[in-house]
Amino acid sequence: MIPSARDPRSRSVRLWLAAAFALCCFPIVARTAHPLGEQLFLPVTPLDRTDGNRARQWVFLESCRPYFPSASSLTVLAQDPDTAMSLYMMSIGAFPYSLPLPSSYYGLLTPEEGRKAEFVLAYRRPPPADWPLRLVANVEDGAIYARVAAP
Amino acid sequence: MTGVTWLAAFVFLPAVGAPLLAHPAFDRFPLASRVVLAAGAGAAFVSFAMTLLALADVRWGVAIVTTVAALLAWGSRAFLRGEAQTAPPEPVRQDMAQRFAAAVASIAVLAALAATLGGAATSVDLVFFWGAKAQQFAAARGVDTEFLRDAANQYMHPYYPPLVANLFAFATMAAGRFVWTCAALTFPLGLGALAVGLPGVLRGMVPARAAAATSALIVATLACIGSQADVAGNADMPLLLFETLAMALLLRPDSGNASGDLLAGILFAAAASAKVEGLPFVLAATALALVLRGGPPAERGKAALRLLAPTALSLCAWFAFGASRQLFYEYSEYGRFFDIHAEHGPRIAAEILRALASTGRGLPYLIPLLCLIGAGRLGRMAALPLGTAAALAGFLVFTYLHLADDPAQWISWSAARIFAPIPVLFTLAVACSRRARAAPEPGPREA
Repeated sequence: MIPSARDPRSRSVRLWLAAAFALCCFPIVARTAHPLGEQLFLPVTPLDRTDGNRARQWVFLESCRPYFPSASSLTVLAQDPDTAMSLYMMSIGAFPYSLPLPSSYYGLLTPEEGRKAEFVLAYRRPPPADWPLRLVANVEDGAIYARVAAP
Repeated sequence: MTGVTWLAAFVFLPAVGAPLLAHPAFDRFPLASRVVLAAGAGAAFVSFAMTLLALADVRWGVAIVTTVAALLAWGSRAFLRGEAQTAPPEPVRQDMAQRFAAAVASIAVLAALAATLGGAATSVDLVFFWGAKAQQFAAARGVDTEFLRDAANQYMHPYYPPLVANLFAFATMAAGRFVWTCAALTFPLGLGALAVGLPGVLRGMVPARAAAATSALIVATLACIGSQADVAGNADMPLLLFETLAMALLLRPDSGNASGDLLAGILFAAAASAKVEGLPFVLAATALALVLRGGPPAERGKAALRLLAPTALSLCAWFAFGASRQLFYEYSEYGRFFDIHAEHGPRIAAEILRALASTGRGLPYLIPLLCLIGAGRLGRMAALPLGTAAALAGFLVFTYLHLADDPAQWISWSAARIFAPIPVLFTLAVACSRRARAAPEPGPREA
């Protein structure tokens, strides 16, 4: 049976197909609205186009990776508690063989935990002056320090 | 190469579910749908096997997990004793509408793939906890209780249903390391599975043309929501895959038999093991299906058992693990059950609407709703997806009401994702309309 174009049953199917087509076009159109240069660059992090701030934090963690042994403890410092928490959470996944220790946790300062870490990853801020540390390397958006044993 | 192996672990899931889906009672599904249904069942069996092994303190390994999962799949055939072989579906000639529907679904999957590869759909939850949990579990060769018990890892939600962490850990063990991009690719992979498998499942209730059109609408809806609400690499796509397939199975006229119920029950177990909100979905859908089917109480009792037993077993194993390790005893962090803040009601409603409206300009929620309104008279079975949608929406609002503080921020980053099953259920209700059922069937395939 060849359905007539005016057959309401055929019209319904066509309507649903048109609706599906409209929905499938939306993300493509939304994507092409971005500048071509932005669309062509390959992402460096999984979050490049979803969360720019966290993408930078991810890059920072990755750039610290070569400067400490994988099986060491570390803490991440940042200017504000939200960023510190975000970096701490990401560091667990980024460094699965390390032991990240929080210097703040959901806004609650826990410097006694952070001070135990062998390495300090300082994101856009210097570490506290009274922490016995030596600079290991400057990286993008921060620096990495190693704890110095007390004399 | 590691990435290929990581993803291959997911492509391997149909083989795990195959001992069950190879039963002749499932001959009624087209091959593509059968493979996808086997993958869904395989995911449920792999996760359940990993939970059982963790409970028994047996170290995970790819071989032992696969063997136990395949044995569970084989053993579940015992519930199909006496089930007759079913006839394969009539082959139909693909007409223009079906080809167009397939093209639309393919474009939607490719758009989701492009967004994921471009780093434009990745869920923050992947880098915050799904990835970390999977790596720890894979390294520990089990559910790492020391890691979950650590007060500094409280945000890892130790009680959270285990399926996604288990499957990601399984793939990590197979590949030798966790691959972030591949974890994100589970979004287009799940969407692709839905695009391939759903039309054949829906064909049991509507003609091929309507099945193809409604499937394309569901896939396009989820591609749009997923790309806009950043679900790549989190538990939302697996949940949506299991829920959609299970609901489509229940809507088929042949759903009342043992094989249909058992398969839907296994997919329900996968959904309830994927996310907390999978459980209310399962309970609502089962209750409504049993009411709508009618029949003698003994029959309904048997059907309830087949639909709910897999979920009960999966969650009992998980909570037995938590309780035996004194890790968790319930779904926590949501406050006491009746300790709600009704004063937030109007704000919650406004924030939910705002969140949905800002996702694809609200189109992925609005368009299926308009299709539903325009579908004309709905069949009786439409009460199943619509009632489930109402129950799920009620549960989600009820959950938001538990927050003592302003829930706006929580809603802004969660509502678009967790309300995603609602437009899918609207579209499945459209498939229950008389117009869908009476859609002209293409002619038989020519020899």
